Amino acid sequence: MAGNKIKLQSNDGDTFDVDVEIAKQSATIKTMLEDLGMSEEDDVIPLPNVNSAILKKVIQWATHHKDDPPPPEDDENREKNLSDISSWDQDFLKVDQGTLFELILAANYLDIKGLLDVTCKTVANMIKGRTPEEIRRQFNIKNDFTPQEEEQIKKENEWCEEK
Amino acid sequence: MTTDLMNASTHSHNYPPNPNEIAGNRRPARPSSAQFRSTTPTRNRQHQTTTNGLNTTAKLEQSILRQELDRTGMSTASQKLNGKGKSRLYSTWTPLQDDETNARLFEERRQLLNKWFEKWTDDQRRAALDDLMAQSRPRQLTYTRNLLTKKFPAHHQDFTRLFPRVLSLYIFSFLDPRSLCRCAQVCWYWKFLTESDQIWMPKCLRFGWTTKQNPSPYESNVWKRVYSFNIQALQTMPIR
Repeated sequence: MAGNKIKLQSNDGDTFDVDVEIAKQSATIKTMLEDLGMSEEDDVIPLPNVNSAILKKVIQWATHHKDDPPPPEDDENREKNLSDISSWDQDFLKVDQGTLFELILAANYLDIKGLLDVTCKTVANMIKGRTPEEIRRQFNIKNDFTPQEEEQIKKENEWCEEK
Repeated sequence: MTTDLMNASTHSHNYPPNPNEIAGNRRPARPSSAQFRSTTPTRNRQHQTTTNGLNTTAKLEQSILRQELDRTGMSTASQKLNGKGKSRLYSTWTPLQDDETNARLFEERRQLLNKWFEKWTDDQRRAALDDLMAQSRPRQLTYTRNLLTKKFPAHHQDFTRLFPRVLSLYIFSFLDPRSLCRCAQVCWYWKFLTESDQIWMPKCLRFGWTTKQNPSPYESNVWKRVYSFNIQALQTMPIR
């Protein structure tokens, strides 16, 4: 079956020819092909939640990772793995915040665990080690605490800071 | 250079000569009821359309044009003429029927505008942009916004407002307790999200910490307190 191609269509109408094996990294597409018995020949798979710029990035990622072993099942110790992002992925994810967020939504919709994990870790890394004020600035968040509330909540969380 | 431009512009202003002289070249006037009702003499009205067209599309040419027409009278008259202007075939400022000439004229003026814009200082450019924005229709403003977001994507967005809650929680699940405690101090919604039991329970269970009794389903952020309680108990123990 190797070498078979399918067509993926973005929500703005562009069509991409992709190797079936590459496309099957998306559990969503895999299910469509295998369980729903869609033919691989000339059917176009419409992906109404993904635009063509993002789909292009997703295909680029999936192509680079086509020989990866299947991602491990969720272990509970995710914190430890936060920094293990390959240098290729780091370069790949040097994009603006908007694109990164769109990639996360696409990875979630297409159910590509490897891509979802690496993109979510990238966002987590933007938070890790920052002060609340730095986090607000990073994500343009308005502080809706009153000064008293802020003081109170700061106290509640003091146990977590180094003494 | 500047004089060249000025000449060019004067030239293009004279381009459509008195409309009455080349009546055959004008686009046929559509007999609208407004026109029949209007008491303005025909010649005057045609003139007004032309002037107004220039006014709305290329403000910079207005100062050179110097028509001694009453501005208010002008705009009401043109509203009558172009009131249902959505299906207009030609823009009012190129009153020629010939597509090719129209296109060329438009191209010339566009280049002229660009050349001027090129020479302007930052302040002048801003003023011109303000003018253009002020007279743009919503449709053109939307177009501009799309151009801008393509060029300058919003760099700072709160993903928790963008994503379904499960995705936000998934991102937070990668964080260590200290980062989570700082997230809780960002805003109310972040506090709510980062104190979820879904995030703190696995962290507790990893160390075998459980709640004393089954928490009521209405109690929230139980597990963060369990974690905090146990950690603080550990911190008071002597370090070996």
